[in-house]
Amino acid sequence: MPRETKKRAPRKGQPVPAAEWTSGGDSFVFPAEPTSAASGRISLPSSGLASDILARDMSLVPAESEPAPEVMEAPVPAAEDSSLQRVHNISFFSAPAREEKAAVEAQEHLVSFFLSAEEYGVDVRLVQEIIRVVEITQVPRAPDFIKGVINLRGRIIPVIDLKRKLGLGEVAVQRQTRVVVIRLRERLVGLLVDGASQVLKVPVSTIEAAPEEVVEIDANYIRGVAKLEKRLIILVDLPKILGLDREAVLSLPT
Amino acid sequence: MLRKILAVDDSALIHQMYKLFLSRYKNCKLISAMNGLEALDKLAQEEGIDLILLDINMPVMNGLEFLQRVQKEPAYQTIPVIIISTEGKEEDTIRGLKMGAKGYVKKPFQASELHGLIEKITSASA
Amino acid sequence: MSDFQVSDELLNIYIEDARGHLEALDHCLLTLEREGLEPTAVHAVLGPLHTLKGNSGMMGFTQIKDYVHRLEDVFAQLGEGGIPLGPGAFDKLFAGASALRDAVEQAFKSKGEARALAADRAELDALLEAGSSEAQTPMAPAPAAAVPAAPARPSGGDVRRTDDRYVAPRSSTVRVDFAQLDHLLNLVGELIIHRTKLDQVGTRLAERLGGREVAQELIDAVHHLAGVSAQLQETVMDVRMLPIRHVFERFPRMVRDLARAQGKEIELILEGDRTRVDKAIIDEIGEPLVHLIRNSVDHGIETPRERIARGKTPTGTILLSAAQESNHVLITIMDDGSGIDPATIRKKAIERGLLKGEDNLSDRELVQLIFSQGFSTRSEVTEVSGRGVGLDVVIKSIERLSGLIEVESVPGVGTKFIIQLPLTLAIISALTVEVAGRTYALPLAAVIESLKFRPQEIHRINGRDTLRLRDRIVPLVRLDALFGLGSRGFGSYAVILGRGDKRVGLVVDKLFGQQEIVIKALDIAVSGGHIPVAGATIMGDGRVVLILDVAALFEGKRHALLGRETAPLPAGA
Repeated sequence: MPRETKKRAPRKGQPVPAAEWTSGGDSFVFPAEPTSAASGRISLPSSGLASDILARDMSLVPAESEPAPEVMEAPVPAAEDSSLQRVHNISFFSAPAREEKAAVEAQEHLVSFFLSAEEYGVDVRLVQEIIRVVEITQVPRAPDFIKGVINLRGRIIPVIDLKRKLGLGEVAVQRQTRVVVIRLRERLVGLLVDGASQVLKVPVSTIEAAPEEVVEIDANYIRGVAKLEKRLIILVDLPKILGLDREAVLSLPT
Repeated sequence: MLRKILAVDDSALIHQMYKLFLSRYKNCKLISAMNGLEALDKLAQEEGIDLILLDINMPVMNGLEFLQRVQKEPAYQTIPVIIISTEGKEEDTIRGLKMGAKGYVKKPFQASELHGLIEKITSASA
Repeated sequence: MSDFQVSDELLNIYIEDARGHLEALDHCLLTLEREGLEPTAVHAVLGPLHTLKGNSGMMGFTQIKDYVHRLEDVFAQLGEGGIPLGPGAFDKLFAGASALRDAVEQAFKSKGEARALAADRAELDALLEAGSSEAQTPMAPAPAAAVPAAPARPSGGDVRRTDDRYVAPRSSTVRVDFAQLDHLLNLVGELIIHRTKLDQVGTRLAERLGGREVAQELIDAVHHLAGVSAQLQETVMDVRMLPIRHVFERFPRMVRDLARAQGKEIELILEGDRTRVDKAIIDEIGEPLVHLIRNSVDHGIETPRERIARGKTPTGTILLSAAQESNHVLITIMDDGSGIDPATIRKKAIERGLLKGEDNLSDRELVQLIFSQGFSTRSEVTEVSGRGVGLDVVIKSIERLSGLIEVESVPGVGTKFIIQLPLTLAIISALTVEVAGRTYALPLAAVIESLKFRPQEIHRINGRDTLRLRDRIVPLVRLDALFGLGSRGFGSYAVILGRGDKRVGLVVDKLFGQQEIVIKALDIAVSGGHIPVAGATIMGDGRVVLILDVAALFEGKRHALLGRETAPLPAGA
């Protein structure tokens, strides 16, 4: 059979050629099926049962004409609200699924730690673990907030002195000093802090923009404060601290 | 009860979507094949396949050829087949239906559309 | 209901697939343009287009889906001979392919359709219209003379690639996440380190056990383990190796587009695209190569008229080749264009304050200046290459890969860039040394020799400490000064490092010895700055040891030549 003719849809009354795109010389080939004389393209609804489709007259219906008999309609898929969606073959990211998420009372799940006497918090999902300070290897000529690198079970990760980064002085390494290991987009980075506190949930309603009192810190790195009864937790913007704004992220090697 | 579904398609993306779409069928194993020939192998290896989702345009062996062979085997010809069709390939779809496929759905399709069709077809044949 | 959001995982699968299909599309167009209507070429592209259409539809990218559908129609008609394939048609087709690629990449970045394709689709419609109104005449191949850019056929039969994917009767491959391979490689690295330790301990223990049989068994077992782990290492490395063709592939198209835009005729020859390199290299080397090839097109190859005036053929040639040499790979970009004129460089360098009028550099040294920051030999901003040459970016990328780059040029004749890269990145042989109480590692590949010296042997020349090494003078570099570590005295060993024909002596306090180490990259937060550290490794005892960036030590020398503030070399003792 001729391989050169590659017709995609029947045109101008030509016979429908054998199934395309089979490879190998001995592949099975379907006999051409003649279309009806007045054919255009066959039209089919977006889905259907064989029993329904084959029941109708098999002479081809040109795309322009209206499908008349009821039986041509595709059976309704279970529990679908708008028939419009079926007809237009829209993708499946429909709004309803998203709205469900908003229903639950929003909370932020945090890990908190201390720098001097102030309490700070980061999203718990980004914290891989909190460890005591191990030997930190200095890296010459690195930025001043990089304390050095450490060996975390075979992975070499940088340790950022958070106080230096936020302009609050320097973390003095003592017994309570900890390294909060952050995992963000396959990067592991350690934050050197004066002490770790706890894991807690705060309702989103308690979170506000950083007030004046906190202004000594580089405001860029703070995304807000959580005002609880007796505490104030300053929420750190980790992506910013790690230099991960959108553009930087896109250009990072993974 | 759906225990095993065989999905035949040359697109890795579609297989990933099947994984998501069909996750609602608990305890159902999803088996993938990238073309008709591989699908035949899987049919031979895995017992108890309850449903086949079949793409038509694939290399090596296309869906219609696969269907043809399947229909010849008494062991396989009872397995319901849903053809995953595309706009512009209506003749192939109809040919497939004539060959014994129980239904079809056109790409791109909604998860719910696929589920509806599956439920109609498999409860009918249960 | 199981409707869901577009996940990153889906997007990644989609874009990976899509890029392959887009390559096939480009490939087909290039073939058609060069060889005229080739039914197999058209046939080969229909499959990828169809899959791309289906995938795009499933991801909800309706515009892209419809656009690809239209492209399918175009190719179908093309295949029947229904569209005359003149240069105008090709321009439309290539533009259409670019529009599609752009739309796909944007959809990936934005996780949803971001680019309107209505205008581009109209173009395709126009093509179809023009085609169907023509009589069904058989196709003539695109007239060769009228097509200015004719990328040469890459050697090694890449046409097969898109076909190979579809012809394999059995799926004998497995899709593996690269992160998994990285992990595997890390594990192998650990294995190597501990096996080495076992070697040492086993040998000592065996000696203690004397002539007992169990000693022999121990030694045998240790050796066997060494053999197996070496094989394991090799195999894992091998798995990560991919033909560099993956990177080279995009260049024929790029050269074609650039050449046309500038009214030049350029032939791109690809060689050795089957050479295999580590995937990490493949990922990184693309950008520097783009810069260099753009350079060749923009500043290297002259217009046909200029070339004829110089007695050259009107069509310029760019050669991009890859070859493996012992444990590294050499990538060469060579053009027969106008070359680099040392006099122009000198002038520009003085203009930009990089050189002073009285500085005396040889021609070779002048040419090396093109690698300096902010240097450009063309004052106008060309639309194509933007702000100038950007070679400093190139050199940084290459050094990040622990590679080296050199340039050779003859004015009026041509230019050649040679990039040397290690075959694999992960495990290297290193020499560990101690400086100012700290341990550092040096890639053994860069070490020529090491020697002990006495303070009396140091000669001061031009304000710098040097050592006489047989017939040459080798400048010395003190790490403690370089790193601001606080000098602890003189140091008694010099490790002579080599790069090309240059030599530098690194002064150290102790030499520990050679060993295999696993290079671990440093996080961007650490390495983002300009630091002379190429990575780090973990010693058997868990300590982190930094691996020195040898290139930086040489660069320091160059900076000193230019009198820069940041010259790492000490001003003098």
